[in-house]
Amino acid sequence: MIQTVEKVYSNNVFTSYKITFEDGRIYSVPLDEDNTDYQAILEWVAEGNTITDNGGGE
Amino acid sequence: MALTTLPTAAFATGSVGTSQLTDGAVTTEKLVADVNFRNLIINGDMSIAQRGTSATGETTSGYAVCDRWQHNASGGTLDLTQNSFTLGQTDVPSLFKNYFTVSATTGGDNCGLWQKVEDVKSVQGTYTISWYAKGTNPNGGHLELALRQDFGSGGSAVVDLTNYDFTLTSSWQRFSYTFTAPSLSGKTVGSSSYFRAYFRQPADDNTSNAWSMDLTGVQLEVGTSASDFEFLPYDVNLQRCQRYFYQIQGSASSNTMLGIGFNNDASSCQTYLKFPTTMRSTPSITSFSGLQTSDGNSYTKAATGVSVDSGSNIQMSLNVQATSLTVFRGGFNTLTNSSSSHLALSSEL
Repeated sequence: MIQTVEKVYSNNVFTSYKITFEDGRIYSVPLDEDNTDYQAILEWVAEGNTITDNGGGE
Repeated sequence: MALTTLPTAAFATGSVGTSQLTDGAVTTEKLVADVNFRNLIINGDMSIAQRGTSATGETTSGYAVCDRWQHNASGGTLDLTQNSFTLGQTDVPSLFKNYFTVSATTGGDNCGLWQKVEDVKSVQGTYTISWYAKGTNPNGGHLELALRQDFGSGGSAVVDLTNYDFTLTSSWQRFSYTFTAPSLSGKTVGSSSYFRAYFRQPADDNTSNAWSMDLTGVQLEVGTSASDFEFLPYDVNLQRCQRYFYQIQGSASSNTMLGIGFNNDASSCQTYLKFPTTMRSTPSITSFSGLQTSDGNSYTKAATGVSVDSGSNIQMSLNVQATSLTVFRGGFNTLTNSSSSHLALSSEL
């Protein structure tokens, strides 16, 4: 089960998501619609959850 | 030694036509039996286990041991082990080296193991699935094979086929089940669709008694009968698995180079990684250990994290995170010299 999803930036460019699962596992997920972890994020958001976005600033 | 004289005369062009082939003279089974790559199941002989050879106390769904085989605890608890056959055994064909033990220390309905065959369009018409198994049964007295068409993200609703019950004994048996996949006419196929074969405690058996299944030789092929299991060379089998999961494993004797790049900023070193085969999609980074970055000059720092910078299904730019790096200085990322060091990439279905 996904606990949190956070946007990850590299040099102020949004490059990936960081998923933290309830059991402590952490995934770095690319922005690829064929990736099933990416699809799981979309489903998680559709269920009413919110992605954390701390922006890309230093 | 007797010598055999091989016929050298060829059939004359046009001499063999449909009138020489009576009905039933050439069957699908005869045509299929010697077709290479007829098995749609990958790692059906359970010989590849990039993630590790055992996992205990699994209470969720995921991939843990044999490649391409996903467990689903479904309220139960699973111990998973890749085992080796004793040399010289005759219970199953001698070319089998491994089997997968799925041991439910606590059972539950739907508790079991599945493989998702990429692209639901891969299975159309009549197919036969076969497998070797032994073990003990849930309290309901049998296991079941459940087959499903999943049309992927954005696709039509799933279609479940008729389940097949099978009963394990303490001796190896070869089971087989022939089925016809429902027509795909009118369906919408979305992203990451698949055909799934699921070996499980039956959906209508919610007993918690322990059971255990030893499984190998799983083959899904076109036609109405099971042919001999198709053995592939280890390297071919591994490469087919790496389309879905790729683990770079560290070495106990030396560091393992991942790539040379530069410090993208003060907290990450960016390097490029080429995959050994084309993966199904851009993979996620799902696990790492012993990852470190260095400028080759004055420091080596343990990574605090790693993320995808950009990538595709053939390569990836990854950022290995550490502290107090010198911006734009050249650097490289490695796995430290330990057999447990690794970097895992997944594009599983």
